[in-house]
Amino acid sequence: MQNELITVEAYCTYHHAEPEFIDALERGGLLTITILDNNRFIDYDQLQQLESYTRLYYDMEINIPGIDAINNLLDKVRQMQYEIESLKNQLAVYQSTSSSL
Amino acid sequence: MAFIDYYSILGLDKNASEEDIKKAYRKLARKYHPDLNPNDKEAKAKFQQINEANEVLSNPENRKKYDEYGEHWKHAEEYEKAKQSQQQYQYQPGGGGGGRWQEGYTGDFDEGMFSDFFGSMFGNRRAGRQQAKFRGEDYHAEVNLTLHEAYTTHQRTFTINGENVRITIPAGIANGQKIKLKGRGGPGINDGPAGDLYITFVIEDDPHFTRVDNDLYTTASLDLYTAVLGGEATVNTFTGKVKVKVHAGTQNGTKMRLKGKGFPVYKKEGEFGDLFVTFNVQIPKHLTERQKELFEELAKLQ
Repeated sequence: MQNELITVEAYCTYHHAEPEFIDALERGGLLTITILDNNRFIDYDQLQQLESYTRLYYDMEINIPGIDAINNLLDKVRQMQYEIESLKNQLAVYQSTSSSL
Repeated sequence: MAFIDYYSILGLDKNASEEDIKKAYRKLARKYHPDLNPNDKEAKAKFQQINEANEVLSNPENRKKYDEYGEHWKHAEEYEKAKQSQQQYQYQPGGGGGGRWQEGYTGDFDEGMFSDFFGSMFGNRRAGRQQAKFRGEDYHAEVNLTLHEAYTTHQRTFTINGENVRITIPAGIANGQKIKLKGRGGPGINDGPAGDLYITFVIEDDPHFTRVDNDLYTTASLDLYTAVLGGEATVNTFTGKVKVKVHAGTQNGTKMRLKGKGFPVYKKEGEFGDLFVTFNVQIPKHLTERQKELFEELAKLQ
């Protein structure tokens, strides 16, 4: 689907990013590049994540291994936030049961 | 529109060099940036201040203006006019910054991420990284539902940027669950895709039922005699009253499970969780003389 892809070149131009940065993300397994007719594309679905990587790299000077580590930690944070929410809901049952007895 | 001390926000003094400002901003951004703090409103608010401080102090012209007027920024315009009338024959060099682009946050900002103070003193245009985005901004909205509304599949219409969006909320949606509406966020830039709209559902507490996943919890009163002798009790389920059998000798706090009387399972039509009923045995408070006599007789039999 051509209209859901953006060229690496266009992305780099608008974001003032180097193509080497995109290559490094790909090598690090953080980004998937699609190749069509010898052109390199980024899928729209990955744009949000890529824009976040770009901010981490350029605005906060975090290198690629650091971004990879952050990515893993953020997954854990989100999972823990979900668990906390569900534990809070469970706790509410015991609180309401004990107060009504 | 209180005065904001941008230096203290970045932990710097007025003599800080450009490099000090850059370093301080980066250090604080690594701690408070929304990209690193998912679902954290406090960090987002803190980062707003840090970003604003950086926007002003890392731009030499803005920093000069801020340093000059500081707390007296309200009178900046008057000073400016007075100054201009004195200097009108002097040559004014144009531009500044030498074409170097500014670094600053360009991510998921809400409109109004800058304080009134910033707007009044520097105008609402912020420098930011040039052309920093392709994809439009994601919008985030929160929708409150009662437990009863979450129980049934229903439709809701929202107005987003003047456009009506109708969505179907499936029965069994969870508290805090997010629905993503692709392409319903801000418009893309430079032919980029539009952002997404994320709707977070907040399910209000119900006075009678508590929900955990697909199960519901409630309490029911049980009179002493039925608890002791056994019999039938009426229990309120989410969809109406049902009669249940109670064993003789049911203790206060006994839990009963009513299979399939809980909450609908999300996107699985016809599947329901269970309802757990905790019995609250009522001890009679006002006894007639006759009742008192009978209880005393019972007591003697023990």
